[in-house]
Amino acid sequence: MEKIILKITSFTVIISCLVLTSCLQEPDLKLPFKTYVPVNLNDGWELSTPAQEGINETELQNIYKYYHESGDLWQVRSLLVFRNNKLVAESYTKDPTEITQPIAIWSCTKQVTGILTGIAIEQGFIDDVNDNIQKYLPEEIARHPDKGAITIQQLLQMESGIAFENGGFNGESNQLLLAKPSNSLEYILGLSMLYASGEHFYYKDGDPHLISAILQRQTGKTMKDWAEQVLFSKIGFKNYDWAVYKDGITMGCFGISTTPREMARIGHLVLNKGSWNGQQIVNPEWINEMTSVKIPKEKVNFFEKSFGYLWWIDEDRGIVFMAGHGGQHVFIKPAKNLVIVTTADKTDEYIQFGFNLDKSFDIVDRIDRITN
Amino acid sequence: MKQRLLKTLVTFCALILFSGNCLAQNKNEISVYVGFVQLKEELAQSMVYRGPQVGFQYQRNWFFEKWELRYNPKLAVGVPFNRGMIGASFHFVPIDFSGLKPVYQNDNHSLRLGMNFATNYTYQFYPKQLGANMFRYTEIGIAPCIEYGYQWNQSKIKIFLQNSLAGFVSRTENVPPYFYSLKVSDFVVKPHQNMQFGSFDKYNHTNASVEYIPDTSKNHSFALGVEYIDSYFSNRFQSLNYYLQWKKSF
Repeated sequence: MEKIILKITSFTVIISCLVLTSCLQEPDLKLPFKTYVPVNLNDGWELSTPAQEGINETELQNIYKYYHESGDLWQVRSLLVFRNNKLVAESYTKDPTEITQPIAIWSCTKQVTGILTGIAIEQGFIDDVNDNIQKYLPEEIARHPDKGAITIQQLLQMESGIAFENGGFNGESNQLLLAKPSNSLEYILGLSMLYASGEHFYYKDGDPHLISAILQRQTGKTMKDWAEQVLFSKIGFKNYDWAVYKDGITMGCFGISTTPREMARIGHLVLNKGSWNGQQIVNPEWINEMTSVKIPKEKVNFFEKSFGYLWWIDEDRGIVFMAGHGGQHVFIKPAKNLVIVTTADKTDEYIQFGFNLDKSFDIVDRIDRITN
Repeated sequence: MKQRLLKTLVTFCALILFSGNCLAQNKNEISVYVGFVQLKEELAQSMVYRGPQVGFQYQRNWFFEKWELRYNPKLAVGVPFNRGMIGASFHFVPIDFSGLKPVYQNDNHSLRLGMNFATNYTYQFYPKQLGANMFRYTEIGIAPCIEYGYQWNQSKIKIFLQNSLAGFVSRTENVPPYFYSLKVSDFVVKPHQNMQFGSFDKYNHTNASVEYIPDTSKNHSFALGVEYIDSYFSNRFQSLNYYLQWKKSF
């Protein structure tokens, strides 16, 4: 009798374990590939086919299949290919509604801040890129005189020298994400100096956020509102939100949520040297300055890529690009009139676990190779 | 407010710990358990994190003639992984009362039925995947339970099964893209916000275990158990934990 009970019990336990384990199977993280043919949303994008724009369709299909099916790329969410200002291929690997559903694009916000700085100079809100920030934030710099020598250009080049740390739970970026400081401007300016300004590149969120504060002070509007007026409304960039810190300053370092199609508008603005549908929105000289190498990759502490004015540059590939945490990218290859947009799930350990730049460039290179 | 809370807690603990003086029979039991936990959080892309879990449980039993009342708080900590990314889980059950009444008994067999009332709090973190976001599940509910016992010679085996019936539940509702909060007070305040009442339409919580007592004259036993939580009223969260438990009574 005892043996029978023990046997029944053991059998029940094992069967229960097996049944319950099957309940927690991980779902497929991505949808199977169906098509890369873009849908006409009447959002201003002209549609075309890869063949018409000189891209090998069979190979492009293979790339999309790989993008959808590779387990290594579990993070990716979208891949869009534009050529000659036309959308030729588009697919969403996890959620098709993301075609119109904004997602956080993280540090791609910095590149928008870079463009807005050029518009501010063009419109006279900033006299010169070499101006000290003391000129625009006199009261704040009086309280923090060690920041007086920092220039606008140094902020654009991540050379302020301010001891602002992006990473870590106690890092300054996380303090802003947790909205702990009551005043973001005072918080950043109140930090100590890690280097003398202009001495070293050090990638950080603090520098572009200071630019946002300066633009806000000079234009009398939040950067979000001013951007809508001078940039977004002119390029049809509608489907977005831009986070504002609790002190009212638009986040200049991260904070934009938008769709891949809208991201591509920024990319095409740069591809077309600041022009949109024949209207010059940004001074082409600024676009050239912004996307030319200011910090060679040997001196960059983040990616092994060169840096312009808040824009990334891969000189070897002839590509300038926007890069946001977790794999939000817009790659622009002017020589081929090619723009590629990727979005991916954010992972905090971006380099190790995320859709990092190496993985992204692998996709970009493959598309580049099949583009004549 | 704090003083009142403190007084309530002290009174509660005193009632639990010193209640032996006013009751005829009672038993204390402590147990540690090691397990394998699996977590599936929809807000973390429904990725299944798997890994070890350790827990500590205290049990206080009161016997009122045929009735048994148990107070059974526990705390478990898990360290699950997915694709090399580490996660963390905390399962905290500060209040867990079960009342059991025999419905059948002979020399070898016993069958008891009862009802459980418990407050379950689980917190999950996926720091490599989703930064400093906290994911939580709260359940305050009742659950019928059944316990079958079979004794032979000096050995005994007990099979326990409990399944949720109804209660109040609360879940993390979203993960904000940018700003978020992770204050100490969030661990207390948020789990009690937006509570919803429901039954099988909202959640299911199953506990099952098989306990083996090698020698009833001794005061230790072993149990093999499984605990399954499935909340599907909002973003779905599932937790499955197999455990091996060692109990020591005194």
